[in-house]
Amino acid sequence: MTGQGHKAGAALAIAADVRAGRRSAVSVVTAVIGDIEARDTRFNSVTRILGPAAVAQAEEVDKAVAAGRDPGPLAGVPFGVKDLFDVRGEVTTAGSIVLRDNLPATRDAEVVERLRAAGAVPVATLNMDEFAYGFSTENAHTGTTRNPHDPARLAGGSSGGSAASVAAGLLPFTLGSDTNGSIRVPSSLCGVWGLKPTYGQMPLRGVYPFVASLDVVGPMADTVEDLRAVYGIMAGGLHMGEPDVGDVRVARLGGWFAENISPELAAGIDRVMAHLGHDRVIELPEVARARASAFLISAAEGGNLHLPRLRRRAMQYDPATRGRLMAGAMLPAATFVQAQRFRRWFRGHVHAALANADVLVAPTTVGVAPRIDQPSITVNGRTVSARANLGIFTQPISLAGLPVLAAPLAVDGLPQGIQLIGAPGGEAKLFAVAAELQRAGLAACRPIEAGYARKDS
Amino acid sequence: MSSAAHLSPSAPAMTGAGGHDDRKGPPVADMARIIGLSIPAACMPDVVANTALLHGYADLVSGFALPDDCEPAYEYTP
Repeated sequence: MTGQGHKAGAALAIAADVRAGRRSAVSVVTAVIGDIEARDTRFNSVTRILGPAAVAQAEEVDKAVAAGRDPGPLAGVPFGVKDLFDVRGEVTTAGSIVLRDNLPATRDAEVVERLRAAGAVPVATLNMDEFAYGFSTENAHTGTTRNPHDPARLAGGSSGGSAASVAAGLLPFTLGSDTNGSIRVPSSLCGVWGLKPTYGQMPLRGVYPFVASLDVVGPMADTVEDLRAVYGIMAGGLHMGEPDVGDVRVARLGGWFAENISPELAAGIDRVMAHLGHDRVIELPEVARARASAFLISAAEGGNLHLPRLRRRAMQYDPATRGRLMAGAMLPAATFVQAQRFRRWFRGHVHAALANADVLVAPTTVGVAPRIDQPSITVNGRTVSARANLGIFTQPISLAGLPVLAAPLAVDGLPQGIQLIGAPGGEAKLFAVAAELQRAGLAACRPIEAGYARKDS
Repeated sequence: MSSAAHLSPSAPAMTGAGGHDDRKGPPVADMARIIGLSIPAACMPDVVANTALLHGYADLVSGFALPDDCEPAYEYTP
């Protein structure tokens, strides 16, 4: 990995410059658009550039600054959204041609609306697995997003465009969604910070659904500071009082979460635990069944959502998505209900574990990003599909609905990441630990070339 | 999550396109008909494979005894 992250937070630095009149919002936005046009051909993270609308909004930000009005805490900060967030004036495709004839959105998704009100400027929509059903961002309609740290490798998914555009240094922050790991997996493989908030916390109005029982939206960013700032605005102006990290009880997840991971990743987790001064290991029960339940609930709810369209125009779907959705639509009710009952059971045991720790540390994936031409990983000695199994450590946590902060370990070579898992509503403790790991140099996002930080615009 | 190779519990062998002749696995064509879904022939192998995958996971979850008062988590609060 090359390049440096921005300790102060790239988004916050841009906003400070725009608010102080050192840079204009228009110059920032036009430079970022130019950078995307010049460099994203290597990564394929962006699906649409929102040029005229973005420049028009940037002009309004500059007018506010010139008039002495408050342009907002994220004044002039460009950002991108996974292509399932409504952006007014644009058709929300959810990564598919199936929805391309829909009318353009008449208003922003609620979280986009909040960010725009804070002065941030949406400049691009970002690539994803079709309908968010995958861990690889290999899309038959829009192509494969490549990992900026090695374009021969997957970026992960389904919010792959959101992670890759931050890792490439094209955008300081982006929005993604996470049903089974779709923020955490690409954040890990691309080496960026990501947050899956507590299930039910973020408004989902204007977000194309996938699995109502599990869907969450959240930010991805190049620093903890930016992640915190964007999360607070997305959550409606939340100001967290973060605890002293020394008061946060941290434990490591064992069992399922200690198996199959690369030696480098295991060593990274060892360093994190040693630095934080905790050696407690906690094992959650029946993790394989928790993962299976998340898998089944996703298949059933996703399949049901798409059944009317699958009846009429199945062949428009990405072949990698179509078969899964059809199979899910046919899942017996008894299976779906059993999975939902298991979820209730698992919740009780997760809460019991969280009585002994505030933050649980676990790997996000088994190792580094798989090669695009060899999309497999090794699990229990078997070579299995990466697309299917990149989420083996994220899906069980999704079932419980817990908040998770995806932290990129500061490692030589390709990125690897960990999950900082909290109790429901425990995001502040996650940020306290993340900030300490960043401060200590144990976790870091290293964009390959932060074009938005140039001040010659 | 994929349509192809997977890490999953053992699933019944799937040999064909479903229907009455397929006695070794879920009757995919019949299941589709019940919900008004017509599966194009070109898609059938993938749907059969994914159905087998899901049934393997279903077997895993169904094999766990839950107390009768454990309700489904439809209105879930983490």
